[in-house]
Amino acid sequence: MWTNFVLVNLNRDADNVLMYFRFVYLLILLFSESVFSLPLVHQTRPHFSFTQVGTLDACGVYKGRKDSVNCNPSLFDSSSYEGLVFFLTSKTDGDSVDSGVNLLFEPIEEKTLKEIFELNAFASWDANSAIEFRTTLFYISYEPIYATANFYLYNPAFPEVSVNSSSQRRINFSSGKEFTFAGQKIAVGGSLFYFDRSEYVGSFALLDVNSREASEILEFEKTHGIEADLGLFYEHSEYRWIPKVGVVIRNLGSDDSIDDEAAISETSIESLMLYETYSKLDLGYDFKLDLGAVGVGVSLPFANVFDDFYRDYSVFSLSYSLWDLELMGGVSKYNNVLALKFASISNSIGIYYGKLDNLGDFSEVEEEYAGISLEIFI
Amino acid sequence: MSNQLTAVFMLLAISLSVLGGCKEKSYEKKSNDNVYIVRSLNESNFETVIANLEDKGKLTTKETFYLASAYAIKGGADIYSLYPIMEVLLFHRKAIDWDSLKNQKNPYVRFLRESKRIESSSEEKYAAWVKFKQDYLKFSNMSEDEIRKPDCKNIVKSSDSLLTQYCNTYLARHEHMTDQFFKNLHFNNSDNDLTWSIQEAYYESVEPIYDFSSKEVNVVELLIQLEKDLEDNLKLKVDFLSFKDFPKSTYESQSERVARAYEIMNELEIIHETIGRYGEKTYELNQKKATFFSGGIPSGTKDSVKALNFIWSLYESIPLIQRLPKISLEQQDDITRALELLGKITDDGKYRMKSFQMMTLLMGFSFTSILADSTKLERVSQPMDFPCHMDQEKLVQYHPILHDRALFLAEIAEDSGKLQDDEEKLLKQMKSQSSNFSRIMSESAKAELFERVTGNKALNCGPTSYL
Repeated sequence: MWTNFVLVNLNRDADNVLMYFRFVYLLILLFSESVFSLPLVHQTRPHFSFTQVGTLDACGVYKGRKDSVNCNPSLFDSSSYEGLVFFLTSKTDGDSVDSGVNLLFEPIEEKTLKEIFELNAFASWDANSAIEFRTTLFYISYEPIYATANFYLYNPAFPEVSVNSSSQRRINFSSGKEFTFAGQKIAVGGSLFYFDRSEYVGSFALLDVNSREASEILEFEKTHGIEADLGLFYEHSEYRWIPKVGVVIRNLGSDDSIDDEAAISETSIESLMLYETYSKLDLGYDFKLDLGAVGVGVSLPFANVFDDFYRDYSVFSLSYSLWDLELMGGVSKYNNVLALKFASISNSIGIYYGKLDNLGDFSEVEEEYAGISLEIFI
Repeated sequence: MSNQLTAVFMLLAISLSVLGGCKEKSYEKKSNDNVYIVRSLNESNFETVIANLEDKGKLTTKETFYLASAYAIKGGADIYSLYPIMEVLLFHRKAIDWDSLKNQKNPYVRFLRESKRIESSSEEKYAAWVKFKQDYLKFSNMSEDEIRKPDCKNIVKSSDSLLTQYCNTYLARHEHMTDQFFKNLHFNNSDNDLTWSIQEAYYESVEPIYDFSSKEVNVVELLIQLEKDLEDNLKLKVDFLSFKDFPKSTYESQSERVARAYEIMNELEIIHETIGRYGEKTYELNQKKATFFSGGIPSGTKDSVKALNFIWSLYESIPLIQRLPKISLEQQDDITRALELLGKITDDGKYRMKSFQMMTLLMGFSFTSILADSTKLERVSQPMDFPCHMDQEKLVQYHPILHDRALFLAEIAEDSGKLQDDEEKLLKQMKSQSSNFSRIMSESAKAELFERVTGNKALNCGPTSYL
């Protein structure tokens, strides 16, 4: 709601450069953390559902949920819902909202800049929305907007802003099939999607703001194309001690790649596991209890198609569901999250809270964040 | 059991096929020392950065830039102290809250804000000119005759037709050039990078004779024309002296021929003297006339106008300068070190612009701090008041810093390769004088400075400067 308020005000002064850069500052303040460069793992990624957010995407073996197909396309058959779904989620650091409002509507004070450098040098924000249509044969989703904005302000002697920002529209077609033989289940599935993306990764000196137009400084690169996700799932129905296995390869066919030099640079921000090809191996269990059900999962991510192993970004997840209530959590080296979801026939509301070292090993201070998601089923 | 084995085998197969041959990849902070450097800079922990980089030996361009940044922070020039400037640059805040000036008692400022320019018709201007001219002649002890255009019939005593022709040509050229000179001589705005809007408003309000909207004239072209005309003149004169128009056959003896030549030379001298004196007498009046009717500013005042612009900019910036911190002499040395480091990396394409931007910022910061510390800015009420409130002791103290800054500026300006002609001349002057420009002032130089500053205060400033 507050974001809408900002956007409305931005639209009102769309051509006003001053307003635009105040917005940049606002973002810096609003979603802030004091960290130093700079491989960045995003809390929300394209085509992310609430279960993915709540388990840090360690849900590739969590069957039978409404949004299982997002976790692993091969779980399409086990997704339990048909119909229309509207989905919206956004991550924010609520502590900075007041500062942001002050920045927009009150005189900018010297202490504001001091706060940016000393306390809030890094700011990040992710948001995702989707309209999904599910049938027994296929699943189509349209994401009108996936947006991520990350800013890093450094060097008080000559202030510069490093930016990694993108927005994307995406239309997605998914399907999958589960096969059973000799008490074992193997499922395969895939997603094919078309995307249209604007992206800016770079930096500029604050003094440039005075001499150059905003559009000159932030030259967004536009790309579009077709890529695919592939998924595989294995489960032994008889021997429950054998863990379920999920394999997911995302963004197959992507031209994006990780610039290792930029990822360890002290100033540039390089996104990890966002638009480039990456993959993950999920292992886990589901237990049905007398009262509710428990899920446990481990997710091991890899660069490209099971190339280098991102050990630091491995995730352990837990889930417990009882009637219409589901509690989820994800634990990893840099990110820990706890999520709660209430679902009814017509809608679900989820909230989550987490602590995050946005830039991994480069982080010094954990960011506390909270988010909300809303699903409407028709 | 076989099913169980199959399942285990499949699980192992999948896991091993995925994990097998994979190497780990992580992005670790320890792999990049600059991470700590930037973090220290962000925390304004300049000692750590300086200690790490000064001992490192050969630095990369990036590290040199970080080291310069650390010295800049140590010198007090960081975002926090530069905030008032950044506020103006980034957020388009007004340097001066004009509305707050309404209550100023200073009539100068009120006049600037509220007066309107009075337009006069040509007839009114002409009537004013005639009255002024009379009074001007009277108080300059000049007669109408002295400024009346000479008549060659009266100048050339010998009634020599060739000399009369020469006289008329010379006079006509003189008149034409004078006419062109004063007619076109307006100030050329395009030569200046300074912002004119405020000065324009000021001059239009205070001095209606200045009009910055007047058309531009290329002063350089005008000077070339002037030189060419002088050359032509000289050629004409030499032709006379070469006796080619006095063939031997015309004269009975060589001595008679030489005597005649001397007569002609004398006549020529009289012509030049008379016309020259006429020019001298009328120059000032013509200048006033041209300025009054055209609304331009004579080229001779161009440097003065530049100086005025500078002084006006300073005057306008007083509120801003007062908000900036005054830094110590030791911190000025840190700024010097930062400038030296930045000067070393201007050849690197990636850092060239950043270095120049930062150097400009640091130089400006350093100068304004010196100005704020060596001048009682709170006492300055008019633009020309600056020298009246300067502290000569402080000026002597800051002399080595000013010396370093001036030479550094000259070097950087030369390296930039973007100097205009007049700026290059200035640079050459600075260089030629640099040998006499000692970093440490001698006792006699100090005494001279004290004498000048005190003399100026006594003669031009009044008792206010002794407050």
